[in-house]
Amino acid sequence: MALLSIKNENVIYKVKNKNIHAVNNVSFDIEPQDSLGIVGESGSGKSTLALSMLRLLPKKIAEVSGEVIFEDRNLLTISEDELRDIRWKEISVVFQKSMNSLSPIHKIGSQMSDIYMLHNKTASKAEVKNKMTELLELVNLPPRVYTMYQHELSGGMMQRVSIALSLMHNPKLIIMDEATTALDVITQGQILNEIKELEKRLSIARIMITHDMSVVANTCKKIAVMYAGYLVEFGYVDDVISNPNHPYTRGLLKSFPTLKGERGVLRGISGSLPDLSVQHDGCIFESRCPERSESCHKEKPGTVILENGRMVMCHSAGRR
Amino acid sequence: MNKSGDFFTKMKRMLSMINQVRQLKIGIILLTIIILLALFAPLIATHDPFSLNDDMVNPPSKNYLLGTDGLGRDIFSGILYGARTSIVIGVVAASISGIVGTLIGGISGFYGGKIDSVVSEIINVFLMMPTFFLILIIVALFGSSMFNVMVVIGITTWTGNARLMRAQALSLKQRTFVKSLENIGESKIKTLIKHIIPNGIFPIIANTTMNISEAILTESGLSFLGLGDPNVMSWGQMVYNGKSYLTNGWWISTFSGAAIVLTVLAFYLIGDGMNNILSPKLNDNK
Amino acid sequence: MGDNYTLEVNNLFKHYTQRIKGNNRFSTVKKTVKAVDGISFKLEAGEVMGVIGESGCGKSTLAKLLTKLEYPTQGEILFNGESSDEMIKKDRLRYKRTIQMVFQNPFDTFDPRNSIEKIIVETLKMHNIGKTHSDRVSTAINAMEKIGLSPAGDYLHRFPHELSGGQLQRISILRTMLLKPKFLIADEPVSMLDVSVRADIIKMLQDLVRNSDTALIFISHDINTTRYISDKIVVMYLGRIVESGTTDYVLHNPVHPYTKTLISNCASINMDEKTDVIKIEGEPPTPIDNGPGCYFAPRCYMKKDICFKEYPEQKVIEENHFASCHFINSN
Repeated sequence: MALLSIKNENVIYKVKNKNIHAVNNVSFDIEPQDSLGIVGESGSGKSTLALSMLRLLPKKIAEVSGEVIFEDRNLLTISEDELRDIRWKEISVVFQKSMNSLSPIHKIGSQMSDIYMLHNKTASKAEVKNKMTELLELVNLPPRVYTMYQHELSGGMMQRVSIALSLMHNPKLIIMDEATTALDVITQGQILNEIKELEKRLSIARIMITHDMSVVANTCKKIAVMYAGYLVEFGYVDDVISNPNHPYTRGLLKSFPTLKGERGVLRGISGSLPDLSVQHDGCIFESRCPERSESCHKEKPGTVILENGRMVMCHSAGRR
Repeated sequence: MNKSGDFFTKMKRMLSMINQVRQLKIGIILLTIIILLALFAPLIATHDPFSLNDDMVNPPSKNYLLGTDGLGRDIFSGILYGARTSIVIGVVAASISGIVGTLIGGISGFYGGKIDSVVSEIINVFLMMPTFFLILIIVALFGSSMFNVMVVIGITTWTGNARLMRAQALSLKQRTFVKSLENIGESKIKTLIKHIIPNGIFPIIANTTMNISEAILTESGLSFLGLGDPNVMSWGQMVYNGKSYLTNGWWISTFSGAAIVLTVLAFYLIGDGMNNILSPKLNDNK
Repeated sequence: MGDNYTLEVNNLFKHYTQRIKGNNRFSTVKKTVKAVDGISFKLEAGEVMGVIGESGCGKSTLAKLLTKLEYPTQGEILFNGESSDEMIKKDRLRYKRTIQMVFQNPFDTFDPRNSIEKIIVETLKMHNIGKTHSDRVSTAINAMEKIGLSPAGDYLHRFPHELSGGQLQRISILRTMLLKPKFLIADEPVSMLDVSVRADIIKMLQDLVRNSDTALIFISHDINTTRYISDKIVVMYLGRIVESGTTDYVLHNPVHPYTKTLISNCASINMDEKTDVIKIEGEPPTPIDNGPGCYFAPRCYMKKDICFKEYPEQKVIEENHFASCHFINSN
């Protein structure tokens, strides 16, 4: 059974008399211990999707519809109290700048303990301290970090603390929103490796939101490609990258230079994101698609389901 | 075509912004009324504000709307003409302070180094000085013409603006676009005048509006102490004149005092409203 | 054009003094931050040099030194043998026309209050290019159409915040192109842009190099992109060059342990390219209190005693391939 399944989710931002369709009809499943990378450019709705699952978007302007089923509970309809229990305990989030939310004038350890005590009110002091040192060890940080302040840590160490915090209650699912984007190459490589090992050991499922396809290629089992709020391609990383089925995925892959082999022609995708506040009759990618045909302009493509759980939203999918 | 369209949308945006901030709306309405009254003073005034007549210390009546003072001068007409003096002194003095402050603060923050340390010290010295007494001394020494009063208020209050502009310049010069201008070959002084100051001027404008109300108060204070320009009608003088009639002619000081309060309030509200628009943090709280 | 213009950098140093917290709460200690710590290289017309390294390795400081946004503590920068200090003293604008720079953040490269027309025309005016205002406007329009911003009339009256990052970066490159620089420095020009437009910017830079013989210094932390565009590569660590040489030599046959680590940690989309990641200890340090040994020694996986005692000399590995490490046998 799927750990988390998203069914027909829509997110509409209501700003200044405009309805911006940030996420459109997205459905997919995540199995336990799965790792899914959601890739897309800025404005593709990848962060909105992740935040909306945990109802972290401002209620005033964001309208979320559809279903997000996590272990038989619909996260979009359960009460605020129930949801609070699930957040962090069962699903935790690491943001790009998570550490910015910690206070600069308190020691890392005492803040971590405070957060721990929120969910485990009965824990004794020694118990908490033990648990924290254990957590720090888990993410390869020396125990002295416990008594350090935020500004004494480097970017990589801070992100490690954030990951440690997210692992505090042994969650089943961890969502990383551009969690390693701002880090240096070596630090990023190392943290990604550690995460891969950790989830094997602790059997955690992971959703990784990033604009960097190479990160997904190296660390995830499945990939979801988003464009302008639509899920245009979904499937196993190996399948999608070796044989991309959607023209947008192909375009993205062509924009990446590689380290070895021929220096082929690097090609970008011309044009820019369509206006998401107006309704589009045809395919959302039509205006930038190099392979568009008559029907792309008139008709919205449905999601074609291929072998191996592969989903592609394109008229020409499966026909080739 | 494109540009005029731009202009209209900008105006619209500005109007809606003004509408959102209550202080600003009230302040602007109040100020517009005051300015109109001052502009059309000769048409609205019922009497010549300087002409003496026999109806001394008359209470408000049909003939003398707000009564007369100890020499029989009409208070209502006096307040109308006094508005001109107060507004001119306030605006000119605050502008002098704004211009001087912007230039000195901008140079100090943008050039940095020794210039900056010297200017910062000067600002500190000015901050420690009791400004009002400094103004008193200068006016007492050099005479109390309207021009003197404006200049003196202007050059004793520039420090606040200089500090604001210095902070703006310090943060702006870290921005990429300033580095990019230097890279492309723009000279320092042009960068300061064409790019740093225009991008950092808004808080100065807000502060200058507040300074206008302070300048009006200072001028009234000077006039009240008998150090105002005797040749022009001024609210401070009227309050001063009414002082000795407080027991039998309350209207003299009261109405002219109220005029000062209203005008100061108008400028203060506008300045505060602008600050409100400026800092998104305050906006969020509403 | 056509004349062989060379840029030569000899032993360039840039040290800053910084006060940092001392042993107790109230004392401060003066420390020297060695942002650029002895760099030499040579670049000829039409060449593309990639500079890679992590944050804090001094690559951005190097860019600022070359464009004279900052001045070096020691060392010299020569254009065709002429000292850059002399050049900028004699004719500041000519120096600016010799070497130009494209910045990382296109969203903040232009004064937000100026329209695109004003931004370009003022630059031309400053450098006395074109005679009249309408002359300059048509130069701007022509150039914009050429790089795909058409119809240019649409863009001229817009303000920077109304354009996308890719469009702004193209205008930024275009503005430097109009000055016909002999050398162009691009400091992480695509790191803030979306993947789908990065390729266009890279292509634009490549065309610029090919068509006008401009030499390009491409600074980036992205090894894949750097490999794609550059002829030779310089790997920097804490203000020093640890390995340099022809792109393919350095990337396919790295000899310095730092370069090896960097390449092995670099994620790739090519599924069959997966290699074992080399793990090193510690975090990228700050350039304070390094040495006397090899700067990389504390994190290096092959460190020995000698690494902490003296800084390794630069050795020749093969033709056009140099590295500084104790454990390299030079040919």
